[in-house]
Amino acid sequence: MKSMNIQLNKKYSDFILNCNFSINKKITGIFGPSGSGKSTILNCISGFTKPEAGYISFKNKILYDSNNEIYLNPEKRNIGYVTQKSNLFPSMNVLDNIKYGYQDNYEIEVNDIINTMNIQDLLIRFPSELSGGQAQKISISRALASNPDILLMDEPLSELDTQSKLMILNYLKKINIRYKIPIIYVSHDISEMIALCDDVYMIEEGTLKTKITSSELSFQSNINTDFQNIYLLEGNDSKELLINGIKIKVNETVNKTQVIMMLSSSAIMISNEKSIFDVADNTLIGVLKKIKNSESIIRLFCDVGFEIVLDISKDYFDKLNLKLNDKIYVIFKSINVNISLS
Amino acid sequence: MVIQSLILTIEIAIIATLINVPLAFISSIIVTRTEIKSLKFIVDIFISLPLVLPPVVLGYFLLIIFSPAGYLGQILTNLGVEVVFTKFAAILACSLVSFPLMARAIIIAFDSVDKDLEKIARSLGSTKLKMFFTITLRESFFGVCGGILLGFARALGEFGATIIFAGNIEGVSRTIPLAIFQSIQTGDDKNVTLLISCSVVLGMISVIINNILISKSNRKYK
Repeated sequence: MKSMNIQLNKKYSDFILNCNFSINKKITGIFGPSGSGKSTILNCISGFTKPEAGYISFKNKILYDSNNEIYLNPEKRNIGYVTQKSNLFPSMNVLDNIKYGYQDNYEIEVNDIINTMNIQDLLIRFPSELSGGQAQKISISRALASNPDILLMDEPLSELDTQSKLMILNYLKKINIRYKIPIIYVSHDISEMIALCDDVYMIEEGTLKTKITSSELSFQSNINTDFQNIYLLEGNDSKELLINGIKIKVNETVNKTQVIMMLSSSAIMISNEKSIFDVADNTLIGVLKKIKNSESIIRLFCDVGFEIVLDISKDYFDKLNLKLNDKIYVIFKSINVNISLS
Repeated sequence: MVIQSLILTIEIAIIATLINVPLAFISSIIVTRTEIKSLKFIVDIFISLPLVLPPVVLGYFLLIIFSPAGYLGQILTNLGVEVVFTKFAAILACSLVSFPLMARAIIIAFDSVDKDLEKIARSLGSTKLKMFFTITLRESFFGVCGGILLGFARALGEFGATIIFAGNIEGVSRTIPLAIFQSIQTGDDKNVTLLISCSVVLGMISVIINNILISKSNRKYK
C-alpha cells in the first residue's frame, strides 16, 4: 500500500530538483552526496520549502498541490522532523521537550515512548547535560510524541560516534515496527542506508533515480574507506547471534533484545580452503558474488546466507586466484564483531 | 528636590520603557524574522537613527512635531491636549532616546535563537504565534530582559532631548540629569553630590542586573 505520493519540482541556481516517488509503511532511504537535494526534499514534504510545482499527499490528505494552490502550513502537516543536530529546546528539560508537541487525545502515549526509547533516567536533565546520542534519542522521542503520520530523518546520525549511531539505528528500526510509522531517512552514509532502509532511492543533482536494493548500494560504496557490515538482530541470551539462520559467534552474551551487529570490511578474511585461519572462531561458507577493484584494495561481496562485504589486498587476491561464483570461506574473529545494546 | 527628582526620574523611565517594549518587540521581530527585505531595511534604519543623532536633535524634532504649530501638535491642541513642556514630553523624549538600545539588544537576543528550533517547534504543531511565545521568547528571555533593562538605564540618564522638548520644570520634567545641571548652574554642590550619587547607584544596579541576565543567557547554551 502506498502511503505517500510525492512529486516535486524546484529550481536552484545549479540544478533543478525533480522527483516523483511514493513511500509505504516501511523505512525509505534517500541516498546521495552532499548538495544533491536530499534535505530539500524533506523540507518540501515538511512544508518549510515551497516547490515551484508539484503534488504531495499522505493517504487522502493533500499537503501541497500547485495546480489547485493548496499549501498546508508545516504545523498542519503532522510530520515529525529529526535533523542532524538534535535541536532540543535548551531551556526545557527532557520531559518538557518530549511533551512539547504532545496532546492528551493522541493515540501514542508519552510513557510508552519513554519506555521504548529507554530514557527514564534522562527526563529531568537539560539538553546541555546530555551526550550526542542521548540528545538524538530525545529528539526522536519528541518527534514521536507529536503523533506524526510520518517521520522525516535528515542525516540524524552524522554527528554521532559509532556506538551512538548503532544505538539510534536500533531504535529507529524498533520505532518503525512498534508504531508502524513510515520513515523517510536521508543520508550520505551507505552503511546506515543498508542497515536501516527497506527501499533506497539514489539522488544526483536534484534528480531522484529509481529504487535500488541495499546490495546494489553497497557495491557503490567508496572502496578507499572501510565498509561497515551492519545487521539488526535479535539476541537470545547466548554468545551467538543468528543472521538468516547462520550462527555468528560474538565475544559477549547478548540478551533477548534487539541489537545491532557491526563488522568492518577490513576485519574479515577470505580463503578458498577452510583450515588456514584456525585462530578465527567464525568461518562461514559461501559464494563470491561481486568483485570491485581499485589499485591496492579489492572489495569482495560474498553470499554466506546473507551478504557480507570484505576488503583484501590485491596481492592476496591474485594469490587466491578467485573468480565469481567460486566457493569461498569467510573468516573473522568474534572480538572484531561489534555489538550495540540498547 | 533630590527625592522629587529621583521619584520623577524612575517614574518617567518606567513609563518610557513600558511604551518602548511592544514597539521594540515588533520592530525586532520584523528585523530578525521577516523575509521582506525592504521592510527589514527601513525598520532597521528607523531603529538605528536615534542612536546616531545627537539627543538635542531628537528633542528638536519632537518639538517641531508636537509644538502647537507642528503637524501633530496642531491636531492635539485642537483636541485640548498639550504635550510640549509636560511630563508626557519628558516620557516621549526618554522613549525615543532609549528605544534603539532596547531594540538592538532584543534583536541580538532574537538572533541568538537558533532558527532550527523554531522550525522544529512548527513541525511539532506550533503556530507561528505559539512558537514565538514558547520558543523564541523563552529561549531569548534573559537577553530580552537585559535589553529592556538597558533601555530603562538609558532613560534614567536622558538629558538632551528632554531639556529641549520638556524643559527643565521642577516636578514636571526635572529628572536627575536635569536636576544635576540645575544644581551645577546654581552652585548647589551638596545637591550635585547627592544627585550624582543617586545617578551612579541607579546606573550600577542596572548594569549589575544586566550583566547577571547576560551571563544567565550565555550559560544556558554551554
